[in-house]
Amino acid sequence: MKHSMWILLVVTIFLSVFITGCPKKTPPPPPPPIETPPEPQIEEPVVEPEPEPVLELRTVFFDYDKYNIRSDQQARLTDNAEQLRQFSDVSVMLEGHCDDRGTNEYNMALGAKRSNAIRNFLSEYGIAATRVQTKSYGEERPVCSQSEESCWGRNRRVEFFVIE
Amino acid sequence: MTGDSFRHIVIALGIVLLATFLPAQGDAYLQLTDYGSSLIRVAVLDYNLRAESYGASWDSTIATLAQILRDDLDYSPFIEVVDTSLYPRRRVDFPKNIDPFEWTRQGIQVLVIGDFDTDGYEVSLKMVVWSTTGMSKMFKHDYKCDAVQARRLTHRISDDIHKILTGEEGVAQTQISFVSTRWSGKKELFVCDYDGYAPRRITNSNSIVLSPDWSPAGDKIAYMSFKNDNPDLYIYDVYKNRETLLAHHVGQSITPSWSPDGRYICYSRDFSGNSELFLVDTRTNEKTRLTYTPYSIESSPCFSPTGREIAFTSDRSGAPQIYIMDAMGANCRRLTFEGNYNDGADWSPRGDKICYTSRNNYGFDIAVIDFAAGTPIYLTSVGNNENPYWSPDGYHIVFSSSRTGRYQLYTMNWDGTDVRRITGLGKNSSPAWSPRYKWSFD
Repeated sequence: MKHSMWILLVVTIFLSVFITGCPKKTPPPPPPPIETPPEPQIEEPVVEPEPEPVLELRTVFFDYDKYNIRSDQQARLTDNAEQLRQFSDVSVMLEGHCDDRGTNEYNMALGAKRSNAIRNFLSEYGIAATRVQTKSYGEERPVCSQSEESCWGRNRRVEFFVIE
Repeated sequence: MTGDSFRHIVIALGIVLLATFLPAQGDAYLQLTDYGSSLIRVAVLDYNLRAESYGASWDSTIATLAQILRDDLDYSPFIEVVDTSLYPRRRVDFPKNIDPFEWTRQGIQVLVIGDFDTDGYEVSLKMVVWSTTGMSKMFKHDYKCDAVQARRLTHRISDDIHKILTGEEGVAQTQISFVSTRWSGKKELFVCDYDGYAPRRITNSNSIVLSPDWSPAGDKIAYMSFKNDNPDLYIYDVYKNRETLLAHHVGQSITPSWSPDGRYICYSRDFSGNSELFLVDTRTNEKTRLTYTPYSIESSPCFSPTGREIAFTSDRSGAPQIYIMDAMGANCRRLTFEGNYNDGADWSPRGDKICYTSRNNYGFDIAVIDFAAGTPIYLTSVGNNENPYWSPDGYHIVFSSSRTGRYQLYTMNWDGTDVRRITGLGKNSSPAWSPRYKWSFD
């Protein structure tokens, strides 16, 4: 009796681990290394509430070979969009970039797709498409050049530039 | 006893039979290297001089010219230039003193003999090609050119001899356009000879140039440039030394590819937020949209040599893969299934193969698919290797590689052998091989 209780317990634990472990879908071929890249901009310390809010658009980062908006980047992108909604007279240029892996040509297309993904997001947020321009630099304008994930992650980005 | 030896005989016979049948299974492999067994063995003799000497500097130049001719001929996958140390004689006084057996004993089938002369400004070379087996004259031609063009003249001589020996024009007179950061640190368009010599800068965009492609006549190069702060397409006219804008749109225009008739250029354009393939008529500037896939990237098109089909990259399956469609956009089918990153297809001049950049476990490598075989063969393994482009005869591939650190250009035979590095300064990428040229020196 005791034995069978033990066996039952072990089986239950094993099954529960197995069942909870199972639904994890294996990601498509290259498991995208999820890691939050260091933020290039430093928030200025709040000294006192300024009368005029400052437009500060932050860079959005992407996964390797991907152009969908990463869940950990949603917040800052929403923040960017909200700022653009407030500064309704401002137009922006979105510059898409890639890390240096892959061909220069495909990275041009990938960078364009990334900047367009941001534009679509902004458009859904209510920012008129006429205020948003896009451009891709592919892998041609890296912010760093080491061959390691910490650097690649910083290069897979879309930067916001205010244009008049 | 007799039974034992009989058994031995049977076993030996079995082994022999097996040995004869085994190679038959490796057909694809045999086919790949079949020219290796039938190389034409050629000796290029040091040139005979008309004068005693032309001075020390000329003498070394003359020796160099003979060596260039050796390198050019040896580049052919059908010709082996025999090492000079194996020549029975360094020079032959044509037409006297030729003993064919001296040469056939070394397995040398062809003798290339040149008589050199110069007045300091003009160079003349009287070339004779002998077959040692029949001791017959296969070719005779007198060449003459300005002294500064002696290197080019040598390439011309090589192509002519190649034609006599193999029935096909060589590629020694061809050129390679590429993108290099040398001198300015910016990516500019350059052109050099097929062996990497005489690099010359074409653009002065002070920005970024990518993806050059030669027109089928070799008179123009199409490429992408950020010259006006937006990725647009330009055409450089080689003879007029002039750059013209081909396509400017809101959003980018990238990866141009000429149609074989030289009239159209297929390219990838960012159209309302997505990369699609377009065709532009270079005469009327009329543009036609070829793909309608609003959710996936379409880029890097390449025409088949017939002009009836286009190979291109699409990520409609979730990762970049190479597809083929009819030139007007219909009948699309997927070509590559191995790996999750295949891009930059280049169609071989004979139409039987496509080479491209493929990611595998080791990084990026050059792969080639022979339509008859259907499965990819990897041609490189060291470092990252990208941007393959066929030579006009289809026997060589130029590509960029990071095997020594920075990206440099290399050429190799189409089966991955005979890899030669052709650049060294700066970072070099995006090579494109010109069609055949025939330089005239009159």
